[in-house]
Amino acid sequence: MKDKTRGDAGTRDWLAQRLTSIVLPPLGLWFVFALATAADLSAQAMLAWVANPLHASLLAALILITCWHMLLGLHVVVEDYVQAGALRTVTLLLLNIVTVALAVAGVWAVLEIALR
Amino acid sequence: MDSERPLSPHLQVYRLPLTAVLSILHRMTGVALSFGVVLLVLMCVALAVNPDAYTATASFLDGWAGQALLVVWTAAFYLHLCNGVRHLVWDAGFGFELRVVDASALVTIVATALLTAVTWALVWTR
Repeated sequence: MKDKTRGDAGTRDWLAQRLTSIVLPPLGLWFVFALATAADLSAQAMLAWVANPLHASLLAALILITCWHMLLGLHVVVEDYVQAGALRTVTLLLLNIVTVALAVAGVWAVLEIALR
Repeated sequence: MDSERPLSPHLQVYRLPLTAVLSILHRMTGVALSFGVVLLVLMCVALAVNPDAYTATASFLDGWAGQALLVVWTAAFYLHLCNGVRHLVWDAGFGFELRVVDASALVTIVATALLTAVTWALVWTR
């Protein structure tokens, strides 16, 4: 029997998109302005910047939440423009795999720098 | 049967009012920003395992072509952000009156221009 006390995946995805949309503006603005006002963007300076625990935490959160938001958005775009069938299934599968890979790689990189 | 359902072509067919233009721009900037996410992750990975690759990419981004790219990307970021807030206000149930919709469209465009200008004023006067 289907559990009717909980919304289904569509509702969950809709809400997740709204929640990520609320968190991302301050997080994204912080990142853009941090880079825009940074005096030194050399590799050495940026390694030191990322190593700061606060920066690393916020950057990792930014990467994770952005990837989630991006996946939800691109999923809808694919559904709108790619004909249903094998092509759409494969495209969505690749989209999911690439996005998860990006998130994992990004968070790993930040942690690697911050914890080394 | 499922594959016979129509898709969503629209750009080649309709003449769009401002609200609709912003709507499709919201989607287009979203897609464009995705490439930025890829670049961001690649830069983080480069910093961690191959700082020379980071430096080479940063050098390109410092040049005029790279800066132009970044200006366009930040404009896309701010447009998507401002229009996204507009969407959140709608989701909360406010602002559906046509006059308010048109007004918020203008606010979105002006805010985008202002934020982009402020950002690059900060960068180029560093």
